[in-house]
Amino acid sequence: MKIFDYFVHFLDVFSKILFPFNVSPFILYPFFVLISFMIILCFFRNKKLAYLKLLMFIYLLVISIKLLLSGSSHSSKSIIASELSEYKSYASRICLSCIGIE
Amino acid sequence: MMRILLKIRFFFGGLSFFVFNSYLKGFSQGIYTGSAKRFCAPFINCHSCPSATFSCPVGVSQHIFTYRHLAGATVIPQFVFGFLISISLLLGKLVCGWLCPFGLVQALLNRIRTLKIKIPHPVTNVKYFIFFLMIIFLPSVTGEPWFCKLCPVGSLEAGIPLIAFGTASGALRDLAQSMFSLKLSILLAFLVFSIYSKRPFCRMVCPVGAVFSFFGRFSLIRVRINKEFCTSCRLCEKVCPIELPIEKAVSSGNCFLCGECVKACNRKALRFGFNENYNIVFNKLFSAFGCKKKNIEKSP
Repeated sequence: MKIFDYFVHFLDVFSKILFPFNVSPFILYPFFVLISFMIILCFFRNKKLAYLKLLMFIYLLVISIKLLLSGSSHSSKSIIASELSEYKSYASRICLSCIGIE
Repeated sequence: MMRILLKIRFFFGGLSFFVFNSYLKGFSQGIYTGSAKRFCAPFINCHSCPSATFSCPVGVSQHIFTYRHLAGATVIPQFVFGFLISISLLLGKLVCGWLCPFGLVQALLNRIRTLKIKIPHPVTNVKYFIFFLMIIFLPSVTGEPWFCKLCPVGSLEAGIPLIAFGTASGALRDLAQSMFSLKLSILLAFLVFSIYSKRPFCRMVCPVGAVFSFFGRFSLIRVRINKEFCTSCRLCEKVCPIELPIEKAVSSGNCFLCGECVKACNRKALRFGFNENYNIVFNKLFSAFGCKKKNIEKSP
């Protein structure tokens, strides 16, 4: 059961990175599979895939801007109210991991 | 102009180190806590260093993923990923080649003339596994930042300065135990490895490099080859830090865009330019609208 939980967690992580919109899993997961397939296609060195590569470039650029904007805004839905203030409070103390202690 | 910039490339690495670690008061007054820490550096730059002015993208990502263990919720470090993906889409791995201080240290160490060992290309894919395991899986499952615990960059930039000159160096020296010895051993191993191989940490381990490599395939900027001028002398391949045939190197996401090949090419067959794939599309679109593209290639 736990392994299945982790699998869903990872699917959640990667799908929320490649398709960061609040939609039902019925739409999210098929779309995530489609995007992943298109990205894998772009790995092939074929000049016929130039249009797909440009399309994916534009899609990923839009997604990265969306991630930047939603990361910098205050969200009441998440358990973290603001990502940037969370970064600041975490990075402003010596975590001691740098000397191997947590 | 480009040739001059390429000659002083290492200067940019040093400059970025001082920009991202400019709070020197931190060594006497304690770690920087200003608002710049809300944003992360575009490379691994340990924020536990007393002089660090920005947060580390790897450190904060792991911290956000630990919420899975601590609160049972899947939280994504959206800002970090958005930031890293947008950089890799626009600039590829230019940051790794020009700005990363640890990359600079490795490149300088590799200048020592001795026996050189080639890293097989498939081994460089290990970084994707490390990214998955150390940045997402282990922090989500154990609630601890495991990459930071072993990170050699953290040892060099934060661990050693904290223990040597920090305000609480005496107390930290007593706290540091076998894990810190392990971290120092990893750091030493990578520094020695850098003498014999080209940028081993960047190519095999770096999680930021893994994100840049994956999305760098779509990057806008690339090294372009003009096959008309190429004499297949292979000088570019000898200096390339990713040790791949030049056609493969420039089209893979692993290219650091360091410009060593551009500098080495006597025939000027290599230059920085826009991604060839996008050029193909734009040329077709231009020709469809009846516009002719100017031939800007100059003979060497």
